[in-house]
Amino acid sequence: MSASEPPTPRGLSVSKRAFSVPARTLGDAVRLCDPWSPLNPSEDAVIHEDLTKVRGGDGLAKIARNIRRAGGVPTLHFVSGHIGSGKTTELLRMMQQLRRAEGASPPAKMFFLDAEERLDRSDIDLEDILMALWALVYEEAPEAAARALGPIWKRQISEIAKKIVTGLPGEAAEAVSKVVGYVRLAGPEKKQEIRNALGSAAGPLVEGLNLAFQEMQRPDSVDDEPAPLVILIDNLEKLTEAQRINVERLYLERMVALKRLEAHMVITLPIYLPYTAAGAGLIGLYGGKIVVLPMIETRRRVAHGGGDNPAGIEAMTHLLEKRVRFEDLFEEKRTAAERIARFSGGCIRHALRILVDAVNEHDNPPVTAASLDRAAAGMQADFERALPEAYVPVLRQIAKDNRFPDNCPDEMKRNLLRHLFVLEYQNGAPDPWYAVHPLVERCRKYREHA
Amino acid sequence: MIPAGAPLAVLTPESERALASLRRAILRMGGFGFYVVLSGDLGRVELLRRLRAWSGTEGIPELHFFPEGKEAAAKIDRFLAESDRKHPLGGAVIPDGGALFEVDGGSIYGALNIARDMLGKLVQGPLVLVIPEHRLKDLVRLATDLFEVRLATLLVEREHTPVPPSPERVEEGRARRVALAEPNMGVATIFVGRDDELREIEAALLPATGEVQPVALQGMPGVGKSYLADRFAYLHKDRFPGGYVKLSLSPEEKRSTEALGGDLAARLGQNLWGTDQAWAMLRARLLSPRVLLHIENADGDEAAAAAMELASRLAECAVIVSGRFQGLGLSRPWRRVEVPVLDEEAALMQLAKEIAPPLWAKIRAEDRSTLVGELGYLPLALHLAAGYLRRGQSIDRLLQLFRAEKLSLSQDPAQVERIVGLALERSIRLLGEALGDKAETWLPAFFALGEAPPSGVGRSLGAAIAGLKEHEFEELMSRAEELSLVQRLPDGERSEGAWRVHPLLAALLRQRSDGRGLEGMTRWFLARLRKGGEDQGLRWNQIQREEEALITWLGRVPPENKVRVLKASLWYPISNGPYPAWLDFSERLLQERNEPDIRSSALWTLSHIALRSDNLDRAYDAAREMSRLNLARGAKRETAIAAGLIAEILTARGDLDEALRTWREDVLPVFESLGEARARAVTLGKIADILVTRGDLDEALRIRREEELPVYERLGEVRERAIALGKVADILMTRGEIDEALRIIREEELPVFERLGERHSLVRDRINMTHLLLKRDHPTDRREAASLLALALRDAEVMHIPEADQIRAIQKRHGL
Repeated sequence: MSASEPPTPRGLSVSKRAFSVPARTLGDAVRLCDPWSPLNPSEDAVIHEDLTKVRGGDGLAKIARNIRRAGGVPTLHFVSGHIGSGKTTELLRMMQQLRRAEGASPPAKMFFLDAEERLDRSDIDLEDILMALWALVYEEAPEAAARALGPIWKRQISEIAKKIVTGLPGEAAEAVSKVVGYVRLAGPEKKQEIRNALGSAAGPLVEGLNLAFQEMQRPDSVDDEPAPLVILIDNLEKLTEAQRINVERLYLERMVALKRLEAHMVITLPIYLPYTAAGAGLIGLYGGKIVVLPMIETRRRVAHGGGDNPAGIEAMTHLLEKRVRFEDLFEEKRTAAERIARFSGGCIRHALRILVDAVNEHDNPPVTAASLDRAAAGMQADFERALPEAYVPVLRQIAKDNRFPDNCPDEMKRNLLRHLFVLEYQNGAPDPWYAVHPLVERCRKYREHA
Repeated sequence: MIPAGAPLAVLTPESERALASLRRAILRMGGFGFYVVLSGDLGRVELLRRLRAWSGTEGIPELHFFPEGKEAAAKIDRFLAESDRKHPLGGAVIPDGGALFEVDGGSIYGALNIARDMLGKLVQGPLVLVIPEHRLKDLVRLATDLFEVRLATLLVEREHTPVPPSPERVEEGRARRVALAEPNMGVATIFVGRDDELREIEAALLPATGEVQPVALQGMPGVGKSYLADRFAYLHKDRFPGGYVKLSLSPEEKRSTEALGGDLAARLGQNLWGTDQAWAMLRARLLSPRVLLHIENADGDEAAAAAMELASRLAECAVIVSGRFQGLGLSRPWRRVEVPVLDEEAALMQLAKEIAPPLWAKIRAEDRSTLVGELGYLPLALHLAAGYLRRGQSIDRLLQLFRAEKLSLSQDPAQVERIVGLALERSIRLLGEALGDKAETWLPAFFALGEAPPSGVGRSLGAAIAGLKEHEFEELMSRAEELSLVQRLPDGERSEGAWRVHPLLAALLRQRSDGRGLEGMTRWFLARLRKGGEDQGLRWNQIQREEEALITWLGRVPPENKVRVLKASLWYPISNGPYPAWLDFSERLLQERNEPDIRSSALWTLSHIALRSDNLDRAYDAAREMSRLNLARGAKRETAIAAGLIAEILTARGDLDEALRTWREDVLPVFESLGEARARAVTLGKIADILVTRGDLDEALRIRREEELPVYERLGEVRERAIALGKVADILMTRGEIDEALRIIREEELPVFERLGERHSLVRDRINMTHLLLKRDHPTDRREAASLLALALRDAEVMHIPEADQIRAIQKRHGL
């Protein structure tokens, strides 16, 4: 690539895509503010903003400590938070922390399963997750997999799979990969067929994984403390809402089987699930703890006077300034960043989206105030289009007392949170509070409701 | 004429801005990412066309177009199912480019899901989904947050607003009627060689000294004669400020020189035809501002003779006649320029320009030379082959085919036809493959396009010729365009999407056509010609946009359908023209048919058209013949109608006394005896017109108010009432009752014409209002008058009506 060519985002960490960090050109601004690229914990440290204070602590650091101090006893953790709140970025940072030796604690062995990448998020079940874990082990620890998984596959699973998936290769690694692809891409009936078959082998599937984990953890000397083994399942919370019953069944019934795995598990969880009737028993069922990654608190509760929260606005503004030189690129300079922070309601992805949309209105700087308004209006239009009139009275109520009304139906609650009509904040206090997204407040449907 | 209410794909400025943002987003992300564009139904075609035009340009990778997302998803599924790769998503279906999906049917959620999965795995470049706005309503939040859509933007299109037209639309109207700002997309970028020929044309048409010579471009079919003329027009467009006008002759061209001249005059906005004065006007129009006229497809001896005679009547005008007729331009004062096939270097250059550089680089040098040789260095064949290769087809298969046929190029037209035919055959086979299951029905539809007019057809008419729905036709054209089988007309000529087929390809397609094309064209025009109904404006505007097709069709209407056409089109020709073509149609019908009722109708049409063309002698003769014919058969009503026509011609000649007598004695009593209230009211209105001219205002006003208007009100004749009210206003204006006259025009007349889309009436009314305002001279009257005149001038210029000069004169006189 010549020096004059713009770097491509493919395969590069975010900060490596730009010529200058923070961005001095509009092209770099777009590349550095890609709303859908999580930050690489080491390469993107320069643009990472530590939000611990404004978020009321670092919940994921607590999970990491818990894992290190568990003394070999597997733990289970759920991580929740709005879409776009930065979960993946923080999970990747946690993974980096765990991979480092700390004191007497050896570096952890990590398996990162991106559900979006490997599974069919419109329809996921336990068998799919187990098979995806098998494939992941084959890819990341082929020797251990060959020793532990190969014999079990041949002995107890391959014949079952062959009945459903034709042309299965004889070699176990290839066969597993093919089955994962089959499960991901097959139609609903075929999916069910293979799941039924694999369901009968759930025991061997779990057993195989545990054997592989033991192989990987085998210490080099008797004095060595075995390395913690952590399975991190990300993006599972993006499961299609159309399959709501299946989602709840997966979390509340089927994933209990994962507790039999001899590994620490960190699993992302849809934000609404803990707060619905169905999800209320989640902790009781699994134990462990739900860590919520809240939005940046750019506003204050009504009870505290309402209006802007200067600390939150400052944090979000600073986050944006790490990526873009507002003084050089925006007509309103730093004020533009502050306005974006307000528009976003503390949702990082929304802030980046508004920024990018405004920047892309221009071939050259400066990005005008009008463009920023139009970018926000564009997102507002998305909300307007999607907002059912029936939700407005509830939104009005939430705006008044920062909590869901007691009689709010589960489904409405789920949709309001999932689609970010309502944002959840939790700044250090144990109880979360809620507010209507600032751009929803500007919607005609909302404003015109008496 | 600018269409009123026609559904044009015009993107709003907001949408244009959103589109520009989308392009920047893709470019700045290094040609990557997942983008959803929301579109309304009306502008989707235009939107897709624009997005596809980005493909392979300035940092955006090639975008593979999947017209229907659901179908595309099924294709991907099949691909994966048949793949034996290790990881089902491990390879790339589209390793170098991106994908553009049009998603309408099926599950939008499913399409988003599949598309998201494909990104970066199956598709390495940008992935753009175009989704109807209403279909994403409930999922828009998911699209933007869950599916990682990088830019979801709403593209709202607007229909063309008829009043007032924007300056851009006026410009477009000018371009359509008079000139092609950019004659052909390819002439600027793909054209190669021909330097000697271009110099020769320049010497003839733009001589440094001496007289202008007409140019005859002669050469075998497919050699690029029209393309050469287009290139010349492009290179010298500054020297022809009046524009570039193309007159396309059809294979079975039967128009006489007179008819061709009349059609050309109509294209230039000149209604007067049929006299020596009209020829002088046409010549003057072509000379200043200077116009370049290109008469193409002079292939047969009759067509070539008519074209050459037309050129000879237009002495000193810049005229190019192109065709394969061997005898073209052999005599003085013609400059004959023979157009040969390309030399090898130029042929290679053309092919290289038409094929994307990466693809060209993959073809071995010896294969390139062999291929252009096998294709006879013939530009049309090269063009087809480029389309074939662009689709990723093997060059070897193409070469094998030509070797098997052992073809070599000569001047023999049959041999040329075989070479082009072979290339066409391959392209049609590819088209069939691209169409998949639809090929069985769509290929015959494509063949029917051989019957389309050589000037090209728009979406609606094209669909009728092909026997397809409009969106199907559009898709078919997109596929055919990719294979170089059709050429999309430049936006400057037809912004709403229109295509033409090369005459030689058209001839080959006609050999396979089942004859549906002419039937389809007839059905299309017949469905739109009739007068009345709320959709009249829309229907007539559609026809006006296909004026050249109308001319071609009128020359081809089979005898058994001519009477149907005559009866369906009573008022359209009179209101809209083009007069020479309708005149020719009527004259031929009169030669063919002897039935009194048919002749009567044809004579009525002919007389009216001749009257509008200022050909009063022919109009009078036709009206007299109509009168005699109906008198002889005792048809009272028709006799009275003929008498009314005669009275109108007498009025045009200035013989008001005889005209008034005719209305009063020959027409009015007949309608009174027949009890035809409306016809009686119209007749009284004509009498009132003459009374006004003679200064008898009180009697004229009485007739209007007491006898004419009540009838129209009773019958609900909105338009006639508005016209009558306008005339009442005229009388009031003459009598100095300005406020009431203004009120009538503003409140009762203009709204009706605006609703009916009657542009000419609007121009007249606005001029009248200007006069009234200037006369009244209240403080804000001058400003309003200036604004009204500006609106009127725009419309008048678009329509090329004489009122334009009148308006300019008023502006100058009053400093407006």
